[in-house]
Amino acid sequence: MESDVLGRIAPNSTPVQAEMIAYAGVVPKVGDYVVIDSEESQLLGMVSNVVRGALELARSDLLQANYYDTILEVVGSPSDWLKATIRMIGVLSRSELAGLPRAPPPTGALVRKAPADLLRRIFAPPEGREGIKLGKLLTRGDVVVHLDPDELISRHLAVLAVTGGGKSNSVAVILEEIVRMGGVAILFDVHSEYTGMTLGCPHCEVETVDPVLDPNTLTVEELGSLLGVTYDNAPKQFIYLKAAYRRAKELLIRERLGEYLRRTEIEAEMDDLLAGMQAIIQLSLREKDSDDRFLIAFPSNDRGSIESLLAKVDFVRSKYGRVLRPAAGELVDHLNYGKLVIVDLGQLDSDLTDIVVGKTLYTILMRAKLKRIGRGYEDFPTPVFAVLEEAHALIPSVEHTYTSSAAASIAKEGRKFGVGLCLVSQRPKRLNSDVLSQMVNKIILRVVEPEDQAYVRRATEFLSEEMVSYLPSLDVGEAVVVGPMVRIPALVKVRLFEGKRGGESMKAYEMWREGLKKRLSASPDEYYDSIGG
Amino acid sequence: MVVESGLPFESIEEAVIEARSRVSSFLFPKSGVEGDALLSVIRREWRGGIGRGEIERIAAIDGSNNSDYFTLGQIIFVVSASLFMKDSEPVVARKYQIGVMDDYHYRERVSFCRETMEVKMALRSLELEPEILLMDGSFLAMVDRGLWSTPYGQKVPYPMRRILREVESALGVDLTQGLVSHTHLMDISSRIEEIVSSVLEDEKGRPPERDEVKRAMAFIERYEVLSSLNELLRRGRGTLVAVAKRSGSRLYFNSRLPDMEVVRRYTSLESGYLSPKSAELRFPQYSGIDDTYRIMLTYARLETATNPLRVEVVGDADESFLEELLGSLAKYSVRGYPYHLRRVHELAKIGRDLMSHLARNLLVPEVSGRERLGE
Repeated sequence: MESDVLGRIAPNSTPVQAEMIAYAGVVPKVGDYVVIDSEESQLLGMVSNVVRGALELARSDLLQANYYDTILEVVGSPSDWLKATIRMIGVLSRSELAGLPRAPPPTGALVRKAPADLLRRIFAPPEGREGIKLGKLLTRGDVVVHLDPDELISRHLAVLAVTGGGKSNSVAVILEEIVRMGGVAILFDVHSEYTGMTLGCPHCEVETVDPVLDPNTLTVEELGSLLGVTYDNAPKQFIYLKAAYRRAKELLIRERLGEYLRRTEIEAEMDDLLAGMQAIIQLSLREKDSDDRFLIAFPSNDRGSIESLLAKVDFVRSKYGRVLRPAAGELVDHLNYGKLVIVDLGQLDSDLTDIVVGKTLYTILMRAKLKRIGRGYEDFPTPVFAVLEEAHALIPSVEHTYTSSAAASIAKEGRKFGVGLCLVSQRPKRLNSDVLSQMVNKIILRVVEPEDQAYVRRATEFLSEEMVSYLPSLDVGEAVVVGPMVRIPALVKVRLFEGKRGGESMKAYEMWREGLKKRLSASPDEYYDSIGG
Repeated sequence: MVVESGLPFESIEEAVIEARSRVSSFLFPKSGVEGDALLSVIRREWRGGIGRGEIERIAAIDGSNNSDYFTLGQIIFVVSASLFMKDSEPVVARKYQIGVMDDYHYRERVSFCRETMEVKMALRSLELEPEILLMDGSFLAMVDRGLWSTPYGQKVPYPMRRILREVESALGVDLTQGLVSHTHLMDISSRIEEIVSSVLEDEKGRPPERDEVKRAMAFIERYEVLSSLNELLRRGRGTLVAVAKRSGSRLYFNSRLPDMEVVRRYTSLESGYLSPKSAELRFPQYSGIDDTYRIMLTYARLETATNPLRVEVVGDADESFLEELLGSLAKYSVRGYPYHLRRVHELAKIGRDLMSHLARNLLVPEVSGRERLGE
């Protein structure tokens, strides 16, 4: 028998799936690619499940292992049998892959391991272009898997796994490859995991930026979100917020905002829109019956609402003063070709993170759109690949956030304007299902929680039940890769990121030992000095 | 309107309720004279516990048969006999016999073929020198059957003796040789039919009835079983053991209940066995075989809380050998049944689905459509 022969097709196959009975001694593995001899062509399939049994032990009444001992003592080694489930991937026509077969493979058809040459062709980069070198096939270490960057940008990506499953490494590998190609990438680093990241290639640039927002660039809705004032939850306050916003904007244009700031003695730059709004609200309360048209007239019974609004503006300004900086420019101004921009969101709370990410995503989409239709921003670098870490916190399934809206817009329109989105999460079931299902490409590493598995299964077109059941047993860095960025679903061992990345797992033991060594080597005086004794 | 006749018109439910206690006491005579007598025998003869024996070279033989209508009145049959022996490595053998016959009492005649093949496989296996050769069933039952093929009373009628003599001389083979049933081989069977018809016509002075011919042929087929068994018993004394899971024999207790049911019902659930009882295996007189053999008969439960087995040992086995034998069988038993027999059964089995598949797709695939019955 040829060494690559695995078995033969059993009865009851369908155009989508078939069962293979293996030859004695042959052990097919989940994720193996196989070629099936069909009538006029060959079919390519993937082993999605393998069942093993032993003829002598196939009895339901053997409920104690002692019986196994007895039987094995009598028969020696049992007569193993193996049955593999094969998911059809496509028809091979002159070694090229076409769509799914229209007819099932013939019963008894020979099943062989897919040749490495064929797999290399399938997982090679698109002709004449470079691909994103993600790693190697899990079951075939001699086949490198490349992702198609065009499909990655236009059909988006979700990277899903438990903590420690290898998400960050996968993201780092993809970003490194994109930037190496000259791509434009932005990473929203919620836990400051990537701070200090470097990339291996000579022209690659990484810039870590603090999250600053120019309040003057915020819309009234964005400001409302920041303040927790929306038309739905506080309609009266929202109306007065809008009035203050409009007046402050006009004063800014007329360069008279500083005048109002001085009257209230609010410490701020003269062109700070939010400070200007605070001044207008404060003066409106203080000079209630003034005929200054830039102050807000209100009936007495609304005083409470306006005072409350003033308190919120004051609170947000003092809390987020470090981030809300007039004329600070936009985060997207840092984007460039061959460059990765890391937005370090580690010190922000969830509300401000939502505003910063949502605002930046909207800005990217808006600029890309205007560039595409020739209405400005000709120099804005596109396509852009935007990566959201902790996506389940920013785009949750249970509530609507600013980032959810921005992500939904990119998921819908990004393809046309060259904005690709990548959501990274360890809790897929908490991710907004509409947005997740539009991340057509997926890299699914180890997922243990059954509800997460079911959720991923529902949201993923190419993922079979058997492959889902395989997810908990994946080792670190092993992934199911599906979507148009790879021509066929693949089980991949993601390569190690070659550059330097922060956020590796904490080495507690080493840190403690080092600290103890330092303490013991210090003189007693130094020690007490250092602890203030 | 119904006219009263004075005769009873019973309700079935009431009749059953009324008979219930009598049925129960008949089926379960635990108390009362019969139950007490059985209990007393059990107390005296039952040996509790089975140790571990040292016999390792154990072989087992089993067979299987199945048949399917090929056309109206014509049967295809497939018969198998298998060997499984545990040596340093397992030893296995299997032989199939396939043939066609008229559907005239075919079940009984196919079972003759199976019994012949089992016995012959056992005979050939003796050359492998097993310490114990297990067979599924009962030697006593194999020779003692009220069969359609032997309606001639105790004596063999003259024409049958002549037929036997002429068949043996015409075939020129020793019927106990080989692994298959010679009398079921299709060409030999046709030859036998010619001889039988000719002798019967000669003896009766008229062409024989079809029934007469088929009965005589069945007698020859049965004779092959018995003569082969005789050879096996002669050569396998001290080695041959028959184990039956089911038995209707009443030889041990001579009770209204079968022996096996008595053991099942009146012994505790722990392993153990009955002290052996000697019986004589005697071939039916019509077979013309005069040899007799001593059989030691016992019932044993090899594992706690499992069904008892009927065990026959050929020869004058004493109780210490029986202990050693049962201990060795118990050592290799799974759910109270010797695994060698289970394994050989799996090797031999010809299931209904397999038979149907073989008959339809492999045996005579060119015959299909309306020609096949039941299609």
